[in-house]
Amino acid sequence: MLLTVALRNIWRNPTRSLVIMSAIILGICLGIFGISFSWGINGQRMRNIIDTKTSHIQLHHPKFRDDLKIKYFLPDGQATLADIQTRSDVKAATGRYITPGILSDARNTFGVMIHGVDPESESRVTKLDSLLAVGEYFTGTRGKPILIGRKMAEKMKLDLPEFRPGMPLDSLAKLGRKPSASLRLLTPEEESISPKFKIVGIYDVQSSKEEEVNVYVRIQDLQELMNTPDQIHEIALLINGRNQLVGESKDLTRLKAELIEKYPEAVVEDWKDIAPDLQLIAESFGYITYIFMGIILTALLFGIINTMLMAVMERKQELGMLLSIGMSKIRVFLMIMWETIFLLLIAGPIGLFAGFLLVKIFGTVGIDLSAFSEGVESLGVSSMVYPNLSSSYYIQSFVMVVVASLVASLIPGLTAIGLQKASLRILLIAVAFFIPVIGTAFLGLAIWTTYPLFSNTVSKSNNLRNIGLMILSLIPLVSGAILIYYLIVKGEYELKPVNSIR
Amino acid sequence: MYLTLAWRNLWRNMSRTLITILSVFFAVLLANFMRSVQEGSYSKMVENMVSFFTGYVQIHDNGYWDEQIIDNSFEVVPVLEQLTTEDKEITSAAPRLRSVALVAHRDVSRAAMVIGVDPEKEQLVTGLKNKVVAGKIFENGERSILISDGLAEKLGLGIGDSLVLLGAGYHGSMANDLLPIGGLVHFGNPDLNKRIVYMSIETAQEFFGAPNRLTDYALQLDDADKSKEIVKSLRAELDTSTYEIMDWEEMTPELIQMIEADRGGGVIFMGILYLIIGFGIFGTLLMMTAERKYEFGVLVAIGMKKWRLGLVLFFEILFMAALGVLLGSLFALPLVTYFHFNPIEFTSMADAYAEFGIEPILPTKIDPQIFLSQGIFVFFITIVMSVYPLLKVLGLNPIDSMKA
Repeated sequence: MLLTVALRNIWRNPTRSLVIMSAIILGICLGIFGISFSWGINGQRMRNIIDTKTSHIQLHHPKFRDDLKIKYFLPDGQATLADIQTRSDVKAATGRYITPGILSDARNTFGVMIHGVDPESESRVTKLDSLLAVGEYFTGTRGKPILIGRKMAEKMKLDLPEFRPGMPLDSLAKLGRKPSASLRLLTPEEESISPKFKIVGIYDVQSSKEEEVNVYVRIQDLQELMNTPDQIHEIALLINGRNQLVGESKDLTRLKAELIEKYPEAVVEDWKDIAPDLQLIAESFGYITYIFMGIILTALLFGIINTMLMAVMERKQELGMLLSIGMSKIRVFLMIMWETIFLLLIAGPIGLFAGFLLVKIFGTVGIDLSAFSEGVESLGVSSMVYPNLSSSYYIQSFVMVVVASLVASLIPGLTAIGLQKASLRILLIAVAFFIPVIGTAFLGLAIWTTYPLFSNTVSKSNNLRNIGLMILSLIPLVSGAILIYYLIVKGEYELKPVNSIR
Repeated sequence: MYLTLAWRNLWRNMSRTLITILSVFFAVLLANFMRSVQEGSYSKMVENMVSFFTGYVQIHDNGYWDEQIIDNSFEVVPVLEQLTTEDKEITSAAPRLRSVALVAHRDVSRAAMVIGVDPEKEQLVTGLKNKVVAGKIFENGERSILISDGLAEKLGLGIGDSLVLLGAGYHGSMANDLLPIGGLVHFGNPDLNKRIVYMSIETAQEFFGAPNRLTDYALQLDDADKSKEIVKSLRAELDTSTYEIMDWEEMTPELIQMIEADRGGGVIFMGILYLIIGFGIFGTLLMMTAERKYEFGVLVAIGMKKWRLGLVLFFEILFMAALGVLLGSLFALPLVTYFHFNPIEFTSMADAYAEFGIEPILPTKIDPQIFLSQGIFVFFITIVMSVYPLLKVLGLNPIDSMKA
């Protein structure tokens, strides 16, 4: 009986029901999307580090990373690489030959780190080919090709047609002619050699430090020059799986453990070991993202509660009528609760599905951040964010919105039952008290932070601002007092059947 | 007249008004808070990175930044010291002389970054003393040095041992010396930790054969936002063909990129927030219109022009929006201030952060501009949302609307 009344009530006033339902749908949907976006953006930050810098896992000789000596070859390097490349859980792997050296042109000399790379597999691991701003990727010359950074090209004052420092390199289609540079390096026998290389391309990673230091040559060239065929210093690999951090971690740990076991003579490190500082920065941004989520969800809850409150306000007359013709208070309360539950039952699944769709669509298409911020697109790394969410979060945001709506419907339900005399007044007075209480609390805080008794963490120079704050926090105090006066002295807000029908 | 009517309408049904104001209030409060956290996090990042080494503004010899060699150093002239001590915005100016040198012990040798500093002034810019993990820091003019513990480990040296340094001095002179290690410093960045040597500025000047010369002046400011102004005023006062003045944005473009990249995500988060608060406000206004349908019907029926009614309603919404925005900003201010002085802490990773010399805290930023822009924006949203009730009133059919 009550159920039927509740159901009918929903269709009797479609506007109201639609507003409440869309508040719930939007709440669930945006809540889900917000969480998935924050997961996506955190994943993207770490992925950028992994894609362009560290890869997922690297293998080295135990001493190599501390002391970049040429003799610290990865034990059984070539065999290990071949082995890793055939693993099914490895997406791509590449071997590198790394040695410090000195790059010189006709005028100047520069200390550089020479990376001997295999062009084909390197492009799959770090996408080095896509970072090329100008020139060709290890082709177009019969000599030994070398890629240098943009900053290095500027410092060498490369005599390229139309090339000026600072100009966007991508406007240049090709290097006009290929200037040469000679590298001086030490062989494992400590002999100094100075082979000539042809500069075939200039890469741009938007980091002058890296562009100044790293140069890339073909690994075969370096191995031949050094007379150390088949030796490598470093293996970098990407693991299989979609670009998501959440699912990745487990696979990563497992693969790392397996590799450690299989190659005891090498040091196996994941990206967190290799770049702890970058990981930390990415994580601290991650924290901020979670705070944003908290703020957004709070806004969501208030939005829903406010809409619900308004909806019941509108029904004051109707509820008063029901009470006056003899419907019991508990039934009115139950009726309101049933209505809310029905609305939730309809809106909840729709919201969940809409959120799911939103995540799936944007998770596939991606959101291009460069549309919202300048400077991202020039990073040479992906500015795409792929929202992504594990199923437990769907349930979590669903439960949150459901609880919020139920709580919101409780307030009108409770006012309807019996606390007729003073219920709303009490509620409003409570709100009114709340304002000066917060005001006082902030006032205290402002005083405390201005004249810290126990803390010495406060920076100077903000005193004036704080005094201003104190004066400002008086305003809620005063406004709260005025509000209370109005409510207590003049207030007439109880829901009496007779009053509310009038 | 309309104004009075609108104002009275507000207080006629206080709880309705309160709820509407509350929805605007929370919108402004949360939008302000979110923006302050966002901007605060960027400022903190900058502060962390900048106080790590560069300082907010640096003065060098023109051309030094592109070619960081000792020959591009400059002579200390009184005007520089005056400038940096007289300007109130500059809290400290740290003189430095730095270059690379080979450090060695027995048969092990390393390339190291040798940095001559004034310990007191450097403390104010980069907090050098806080990085000392063993032994003690040198005094001005003292010959003892600090080396990073990673380097000490590589070379197999400890406090009390002497370090051999070889390098190229000013104008190609030979620089070599044997200096006693007085203490160890630690840097979180493992790369940096392997190659840092600190000594007093006098010792460095003597070592590099560059008496009274510096490679850079690192300036510490009260407020990162002022760095642009400072650079401008310094450029006006100093001869820019002799000196180059750079702010942190020019010196660490990577940081700017990182922040810019993050701003993109921030825009989307703000978008989601605006969508939610916009809808919250819309829902409240919509329900308000529904609730007052009867009242509007009566007013129109007794002869009030619809546009007059609309105007009254518009003023009501205007009042409520203004009140909500005002109250919201008022409450946001202490909230933001509180979290500025008592920042949110990332406790779970405090150790990892400490290792890198980064404070694991997230203070909000107190910026009147944020308050202004968010307040105006939410106000604007509310006004846009008021189109619905207005349209509703203008298309009102008194008879239908008076039917219960």
